[in-house]
Amino acid sequence: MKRSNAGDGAPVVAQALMLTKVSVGVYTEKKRGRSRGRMPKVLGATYLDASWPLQDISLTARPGEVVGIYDATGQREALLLRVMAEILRPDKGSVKPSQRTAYIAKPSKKHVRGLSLGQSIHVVSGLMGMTDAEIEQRFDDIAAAAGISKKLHQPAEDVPFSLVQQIAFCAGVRMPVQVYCFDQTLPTGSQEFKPNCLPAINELRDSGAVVAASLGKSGDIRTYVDRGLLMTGDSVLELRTTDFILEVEAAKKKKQKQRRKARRSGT
Amino acid sequence: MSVISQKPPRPRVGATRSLFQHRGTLSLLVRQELKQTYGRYKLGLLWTMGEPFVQALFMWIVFAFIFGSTKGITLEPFIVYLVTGLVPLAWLSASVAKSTKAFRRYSKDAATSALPVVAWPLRVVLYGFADFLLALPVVVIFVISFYLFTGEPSVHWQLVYFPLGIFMQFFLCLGLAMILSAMALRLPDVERLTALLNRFFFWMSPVIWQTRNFPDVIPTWVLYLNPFHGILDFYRAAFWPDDVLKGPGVYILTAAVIAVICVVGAMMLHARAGLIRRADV
Repeated sequence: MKRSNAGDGAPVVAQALMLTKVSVGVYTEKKRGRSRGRMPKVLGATYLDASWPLQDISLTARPGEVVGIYDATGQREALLLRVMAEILRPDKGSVKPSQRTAYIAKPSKKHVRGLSLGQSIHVVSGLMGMTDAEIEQRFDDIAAAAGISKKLHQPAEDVPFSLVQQIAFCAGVRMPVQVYCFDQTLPTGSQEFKPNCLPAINELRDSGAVVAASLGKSGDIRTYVDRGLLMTGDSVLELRTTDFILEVEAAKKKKQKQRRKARRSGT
Repeated sequence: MSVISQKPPRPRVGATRSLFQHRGTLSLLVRQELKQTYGRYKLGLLWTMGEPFVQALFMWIVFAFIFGSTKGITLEPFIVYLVTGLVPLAWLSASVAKSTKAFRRYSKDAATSALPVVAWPLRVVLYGFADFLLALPVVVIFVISFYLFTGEPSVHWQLVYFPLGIFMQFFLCLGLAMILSAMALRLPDVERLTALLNRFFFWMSPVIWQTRNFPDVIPTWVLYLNPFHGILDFYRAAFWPDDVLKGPGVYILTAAVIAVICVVGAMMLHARAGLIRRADV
């Protein structure tokens, strides 16, 4: 157990996060085949197809550790991070202990439509779970870190969207929580801002927080991870950093090869 | 492996407490919605008053002049009676109609946000409430104008029931929004149902008729199974207290029906929370 001083220096205690045999199922709406005869199908044109993207995943993320997650299909990372952030309760298995978490995802443009950058800080932070009082307390700090202190009254639509992504990242790392889950937001923002992201993760790690991050398209974070979770096909491998880096590289190459092959065959 | 239980998320802090802690964010989200809706019009927020004003005016013309009388409705002036029904109805209709899209429109936000899932139907209801507040000057304008010209309607102490009407309608709208938004996640047909539901509230509530118009064979309490009936009584109590207010029993029934709708809505939403959190995957 370590002490995490995230954000304003208020100490929060992080504990190891344990996922035990976690399974998550999803339903996909699928269209039924064409009906017999000429009559169009009137009732029940679609049906629900159940599948299990996450099956029996066990993982322990210790305080002061960064866990990297890579999924070759690119879809299951978000689910696993949501389970770790306790936004989503798994259908089977457990996540213990229950701690305050931050799920830092890419903000959508809808979030900030019609708002000023100052208001965007409030909405983006609020949607991530920061209370009004916490936002007030950290407002100036977030604005300064995101590089928008002098643009607070500018409409968010008139500035590059990377500024809003920077707001989300800066607000996320300042949340007084024990577990930080980054969903393809490492690194994020403009090219000038991106180099600031990884040192921020180091700070969180040093403060004793549990950090989990999906790699997404950008692989910079993989050099920072202490452990990796590689999801390929039905198997999930838990790897040390070096192995993880190599495996991710191999998985990416395999994926590119498959894409090229599919393009060539025209499918 | 064929059945997936879609467990709801484990509540960490009470949803009500969490919503209270995020009231600033919610208020900004509602303001954003208002800005997006009315920001593109030249007359802006004046449109919130336009619709109930024009609708009441047309109905008044049709009933009072074309049909020649407002037979059966003894409460004068009739246009004030109409407008005190139409403005709250607009709030209820907006909440019902928009609730089906509460999660579809913001599926990614709802899936990834730490706010409780009830925040999204609540946003729809609060938006309708803001519209309602902005349309209230229409009622005030009609009341003052008619009072100056005809001496009616006079305002009684029962005006204190007005906030009670707002309070009860808020929970009615929220309950219905929770039910419909949860149903719409799996059943797109609910969108068609909302149109019927809005028609039900228009025709089955005393918007253009009075309780006394109903035949005596139907007991009064039956009418109050429609909770909007009791709510409209509270709104109108300031102007016609002796005519619209009934015994406390029917209002207890109204409150009970609203409570049932809210509980059912909360249960349905809680059961569907797992689905909402994986909607974009």
